[in-house]
Amino acid sequence: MSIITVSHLGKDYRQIRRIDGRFGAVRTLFTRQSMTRTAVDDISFSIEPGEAVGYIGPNGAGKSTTIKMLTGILVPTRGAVEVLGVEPHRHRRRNASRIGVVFGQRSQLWWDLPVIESFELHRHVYDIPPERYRAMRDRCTELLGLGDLLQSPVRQLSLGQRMRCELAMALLHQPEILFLDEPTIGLDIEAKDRIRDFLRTVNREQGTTIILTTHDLADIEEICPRIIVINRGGLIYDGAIQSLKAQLGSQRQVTIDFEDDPGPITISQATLLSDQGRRKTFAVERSVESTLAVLSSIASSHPVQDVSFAEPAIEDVIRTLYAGLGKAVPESDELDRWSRGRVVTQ
Amino acid sequence: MVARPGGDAVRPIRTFLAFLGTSFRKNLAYRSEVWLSILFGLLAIVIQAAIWRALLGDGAAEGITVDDMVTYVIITTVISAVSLHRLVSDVDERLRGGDIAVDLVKPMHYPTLQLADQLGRSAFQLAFVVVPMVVIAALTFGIEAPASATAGAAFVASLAIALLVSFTQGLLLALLAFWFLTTFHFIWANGALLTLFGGANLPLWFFPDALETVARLLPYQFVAFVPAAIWLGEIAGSELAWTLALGVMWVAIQGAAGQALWSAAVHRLTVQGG
Ligand SMILES: Nc1ncnc2c1ncn2[C@@H]1O[C@H](COP(=O)(O)OP(=O)(O)O)[C@@H](O)[C@H]1O
Ligand SMILES: [Mg+2]
Repeated sequence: MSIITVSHLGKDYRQIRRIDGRFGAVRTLFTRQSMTRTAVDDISFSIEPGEAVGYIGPNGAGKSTTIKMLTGILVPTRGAVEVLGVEPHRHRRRNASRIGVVFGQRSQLWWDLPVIESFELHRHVYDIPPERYRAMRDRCTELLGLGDLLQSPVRQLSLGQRMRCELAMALLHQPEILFLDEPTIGLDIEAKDRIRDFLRTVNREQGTTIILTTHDLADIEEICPRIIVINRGGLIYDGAIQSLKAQLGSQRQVTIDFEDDPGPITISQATLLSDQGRRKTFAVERSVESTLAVLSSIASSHPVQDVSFAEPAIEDVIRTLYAGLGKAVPESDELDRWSRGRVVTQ
Repeated sequence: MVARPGGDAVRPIRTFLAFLGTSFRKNLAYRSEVWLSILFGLLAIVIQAAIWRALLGDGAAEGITVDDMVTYVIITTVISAVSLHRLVSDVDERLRGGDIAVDLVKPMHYPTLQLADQLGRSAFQLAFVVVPMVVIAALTFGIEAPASATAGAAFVASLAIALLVSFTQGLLLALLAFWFLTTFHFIWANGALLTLFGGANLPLWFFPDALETVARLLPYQFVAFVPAAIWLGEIAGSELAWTLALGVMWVAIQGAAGQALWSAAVHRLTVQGG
């Protein structure tokens, strides 16, 4: 039994054009000129209990819109959503009691109060039995290294510390599904690592199903064996990261350190990716034969000191995926910013 | 909601109180700012008392003396300090900024959550602004005791009505604003009506007859005039019963309209932002 089923899901936003000037508000009210913008279009997938799925796509692809429909706070325009056997927007509160949600750009903690106060209130709102609450709180505190943070007012926490607390709180009621919309946005490497470790543990130990959207593809590689890629509201890939790499990441990177700078090298089977004089990086076909062929042809003419290989980074794979699609390539700077995970989206 | 075995009926109340308590403690974080509120409240009382002293002198108008008016002014100031009108801007801000999303992913009825939040603030205002303000005002200007034991009890009831009228009105306004994409006009219009018909500046008994008849039917009087007039014993007997009943009716009307608008809003809610 799937825990989440989405079929032919679509969402149009209607934006009412506001009329400025005299009596603008009244005229806006009666004319109701509107523009429709399709944010999600004909998306279908299903997710099994215990899976960890990365939901990725560039800015404005429709990730947050999908998450909102899955969490029951946005009504779909077309298609159907079923989460834990019910339609989330029709049973918002029932659904809410069984899921956990973290929005990377919003806080669910009480800004002026010590973190523990938010936790205690959460216990009441979700009616968590005291023993279970304590057990979960202590476990999360340990795994996320919260310790003294629980006694600090939220406003005194760094973003990374706060996100760790948000994450712990979303899990206190032991939700069956955890939705995370860009949980690592704006965090430093250390905080990201900690959060990734934690999510992996939760997924493994508690069997919590995880749906994660992110700009940082490293999140996905470390947490989610499966990815769903969307662009411009449509689904473009759903499957294992590994098979996507096998399909698209047909090249591997070979970095060669030469004893002396050999000057420019051109070889038919390899593309030069970067040239730092004595160190050059090439992209070559993944097969053993072609890798060896390239290496031996280079080594025969220039003395080689060291060689290293790198598998394609997920960024490159996704880039190839878009390029291959042709029709749906995001603007290059967008993709660029996206894969570096710096952009703060709305 | 997962019902716990032997699920108890008091749970929603416990949750409500937990919310209220958390909100109270949140407001405590700003207790260093209460001095200004106390100061401005007292200033408002001083100015209005001076005006009434100038107008009434040692005499009375419509049976109302200066001492009555000073008490009236203190009570209306107190009520405006604890009323729940701030709800409008709070809800509006969350709707517009999209923070409503984090409220909606909780298994709670949103208006109830807001009521608890606002009452927490009122409780704070009561403890840290109203009590000191009333003590100072009473020592400085004197304050009359409630006209009778009945008046005292009815005042408490009217205070509850004042809170609920202001709450349901705030909710209604916030949702209308959401629906019509404009807050400013609604808040402005409502504020003007409240100033005029609430009776905080000019008690309803000084109104021209026609205007008084209108004001005595509207909900605004419950957020200023009614509690003060009850305290002073100016609304008593059968009029008292009928006034309180009207107040309850307004709470019910505004509450039902707010709830209907809320359900409709949830069904086409567009949560803003990422
Ligand atoms: N409340 C809204 N009203 C109108 N358009 C919106 C609204 N929210 C999002 N959009 C549009 O819908 C598209 C998808 O947005 P979103 O789901 O937030 O994307 P993502 O989270 O993938 O960046 C974008 O083009 C965005 O501009
Ligand atoms: Mg988003």
